[in-house]
Amino acid sequence: MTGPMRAIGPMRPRLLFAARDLELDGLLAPDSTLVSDLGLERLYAAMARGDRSLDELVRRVVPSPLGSADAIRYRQATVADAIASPEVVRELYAVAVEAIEGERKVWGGSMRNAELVLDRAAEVIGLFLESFRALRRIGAAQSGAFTSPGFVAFFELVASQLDDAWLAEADDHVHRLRTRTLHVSARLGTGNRGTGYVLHRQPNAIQGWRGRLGLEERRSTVEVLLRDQNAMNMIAELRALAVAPTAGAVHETAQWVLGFFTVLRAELGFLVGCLNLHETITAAGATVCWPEPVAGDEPAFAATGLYDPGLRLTTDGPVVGNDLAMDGARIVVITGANGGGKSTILRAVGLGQVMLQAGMFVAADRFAASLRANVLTHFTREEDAAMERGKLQEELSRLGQVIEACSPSSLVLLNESLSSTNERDGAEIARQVVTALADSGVQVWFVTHNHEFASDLHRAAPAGVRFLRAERGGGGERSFHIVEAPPLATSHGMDLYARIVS
Amino acid sequence: MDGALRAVGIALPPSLPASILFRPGDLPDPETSAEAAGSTPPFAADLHLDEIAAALAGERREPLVAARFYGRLRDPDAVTFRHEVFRDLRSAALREKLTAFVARMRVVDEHLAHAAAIAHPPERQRWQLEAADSYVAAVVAVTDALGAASLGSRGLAAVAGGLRAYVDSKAFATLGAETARMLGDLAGVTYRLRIDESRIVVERHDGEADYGAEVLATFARFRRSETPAPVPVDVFRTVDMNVVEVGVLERVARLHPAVFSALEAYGVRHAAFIDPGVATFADELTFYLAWLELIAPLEAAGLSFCEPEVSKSGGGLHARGLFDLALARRRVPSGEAIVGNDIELSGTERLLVITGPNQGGKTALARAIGQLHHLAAIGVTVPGTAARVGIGDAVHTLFARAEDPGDLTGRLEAELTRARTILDALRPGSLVIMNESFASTTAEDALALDRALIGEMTTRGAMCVVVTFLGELAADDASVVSLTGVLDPLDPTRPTYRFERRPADPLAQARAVADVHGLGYDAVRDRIARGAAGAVRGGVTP
Repeated sequence: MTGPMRAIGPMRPRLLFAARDLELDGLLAPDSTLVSDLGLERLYAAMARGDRSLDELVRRVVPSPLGSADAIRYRQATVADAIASPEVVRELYAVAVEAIEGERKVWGGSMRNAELVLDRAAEVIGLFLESFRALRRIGAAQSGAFTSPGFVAFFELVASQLDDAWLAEADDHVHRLRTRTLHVSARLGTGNRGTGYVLHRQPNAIQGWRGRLGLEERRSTVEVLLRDQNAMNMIAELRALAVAPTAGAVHETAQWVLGFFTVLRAELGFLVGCLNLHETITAAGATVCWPEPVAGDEPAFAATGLYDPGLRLTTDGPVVGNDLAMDGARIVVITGANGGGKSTILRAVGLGQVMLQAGMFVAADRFAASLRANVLTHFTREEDAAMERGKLQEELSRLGQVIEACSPSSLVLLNESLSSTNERDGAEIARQVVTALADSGVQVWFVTHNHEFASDLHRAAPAGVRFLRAERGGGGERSFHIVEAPPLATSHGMDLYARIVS
Repeated sequence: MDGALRAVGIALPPSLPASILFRPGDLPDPETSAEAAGSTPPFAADLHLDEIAAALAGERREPLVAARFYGRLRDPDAVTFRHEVFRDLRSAALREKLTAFVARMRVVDEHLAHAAAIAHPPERQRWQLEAADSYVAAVVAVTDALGAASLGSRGLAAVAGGLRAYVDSKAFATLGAETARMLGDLAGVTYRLRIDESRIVVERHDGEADYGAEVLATFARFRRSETPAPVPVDVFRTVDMNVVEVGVLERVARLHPAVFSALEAYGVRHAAFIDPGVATFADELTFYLAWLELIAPLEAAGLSFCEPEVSKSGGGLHARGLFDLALARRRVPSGEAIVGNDIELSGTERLLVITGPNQGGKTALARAIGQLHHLAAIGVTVPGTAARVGIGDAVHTLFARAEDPGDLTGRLEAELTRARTILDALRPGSLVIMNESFASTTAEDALALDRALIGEMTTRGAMCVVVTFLGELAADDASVVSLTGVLDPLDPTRPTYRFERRPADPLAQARAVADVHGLGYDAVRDRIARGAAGAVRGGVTP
């Protein structure tokens, strides 16, 4: 039935990857900690604009990092093409959505009777052929504007694989599969019951055999009365049996084509999400850049005007960008005043890395960084910071989960970690954990109030350790600027006290 | 095995006179087999042996399995006879082949049962042919497997010889050759159908191509995997051919007259092909294989089973690493650990008293002892690393029962009635298991009842295992063996399921829990002293 050749077919969109499909099943399971710690929710909302299927899609694709500079540049080119021709991309997306929605609306998707499965599969294929014609039309009219390797190859594929001759052949199959007289052959199986049914091609014209049977033909005919429901059911049963293998094959065919549209919708959906986000961010007056993936063993991280795009999406006022030249840093310790933007800068770093490796633009004037296996976060929430019995165990177990997911090339962002115990114990555990991570090759950014930890590390001054400080403006007012500076002995709780309490 | 199989085979004299369950001349014990023919014995539920029997019988609920499970052997050599078979079955290769044999014989059975129910000749004859095909394959394979194995058991060695002679016989060779030829001829029959809503034309098949493959080829450019997707198609089918299918088959037979007349002649020649000895062998094998299948997951989880040393009667009771088999079957799948315990009743010792913390495994240990006593007498391997058991008489249990009356007097009466029945049945070598007996009365009463009853029992030469919270029972005299639960010193509330041979101390758990919370006598004294001192230092006390 399926023949010896089972090679994978060439009909793949390949918009987001040069050599593979966007298979949502293969992506990392969404990490809810990462989403809440980095504030990805705001980003996803801007990408999806309330479309549930887009929302589901972007929260799978965005945090799944591309692993090479080439892969990133391939996708960046596709995204840039999409930003240049937003209407065409939205139109293509609509075709894919319509094909999938159309399939869903064809009655009988859960039927398992073989004849109904065959009928439905043929009808679905007929529907898909219409969507192919729509793709052909768009490609013929619009492909000239696209220059990225992804889109160029896609339009070439549409033109060459979905040509008129092929569409006619496919139409013919749909027509023959929906005819009512079956021509099958079989052999005898267990209990001398018919088995191994094979459906044969419907002849072009049936020469009115109904009602005009010769003697020999009559002797070899089993005929039942139309009103004999029982016997009619038996014939229906036999028909189902006879078409079952073909029904399976045609159903599989329909699934392949559905698979094509599913991948196409996902890939275009991601691009539509990028379009949406780009429109919203630039409409707010912010700049974005195409980030630069940096190859090599030495850790690289350099950005100018880096800001938290999530903050940009939710704040009307000015959002301050920061310049961070952290090339070569294995451990970046951020200290300084409360409310001084430490968490914001940590989020901007994480989001920059995530968006770089999603092949997206980054919220900065310039951004260049090494590639990371993943971004892991351990943010202590306010309610966890209290020194309470059991909290440390809980925190340590969460930190253990981070270590569990770590590889030597991970980026780990720690925010106020180990504040559920006293400073001394916290410092000791932090020293052990952070040093072990950095020595393993992991890059660690650590926002901390643990002065003992920060100052000890500063005194020891091992290579690759850098210190940032949330800078305090004059008169106690927050400047929201981060500068490279050693830790100070006091935090700025009194500032807040002065502002809020006094 | 099914009745159909026996009915077909009855015409021939058995070529295998050997049994693998009983020595030549031995018969099932009339006492226990009569018991087994009816309901399960009274101790089965108390010892959870009914669960084991049900698991052995499996989904097919084979009645003979239960009968054999409750059928005790009286002669130690009859037990050894079965141990020998188990020893041969330690070979995984042989076990696998014998399992396959039993499965194939079941298929034979099913095919024949099916054939018996069908009126239409070409269909019925085909089922008979398939049954014969499975049978020939099964017999040849099992004969080869037994021939290749080095057999140490009297049972399997006798069967192996008988099977070899049978397979070499001319009748068997003819059956095999004709069956294969017939199947080959039928496999060559093909035909073509034109089906519309109410009419089917049957024609010769002239080799047209598969249209589904054409469709797949057209859409191959969309193929997403190298393996075919599972076909999501259900075809509703009645169990047997309906009249339309029969009509088609009749016309197919007309297209191929030579093949179908040969099939008819075959059916007459080989109407009864099963050797009754082969059927019995398959049947008896299920006893061994079901047991091995039952204990396999437990062995895989690290639990040990051993061949018990059995004696005619008396000789005490000895077990190492003993555990409750029914409990282990329930716990092992979820990864829970099973704790084995050592038991020793020797010489004049007749009474074993088990005490210890609640939920600490006392009843499970008592059950394990009762199970051991029974399992040893049916010739199977038993839980633990070593065991020595007398098989003189059955195990008796005196457990509180759910079906006992609700009111206390009624309950006590029912219990005493059962005790009376047990006393009447006791013989030297009997084992009695009492579990928290007489709980419906006062402790003082219960103690007196226990003492009286135990005295009666041991006088009759029975061994008693008593689970009780009455520690006094364990201290009655020097010949009483006392097993008591071991406490986890770090967390006395957690059961260890371990028991040690030492005097009972029913309050141990309560004291240990108190210590952990600093509420032991010494701890409370100490805290009061330090608290006072601290208060003075802290300047609270005026």
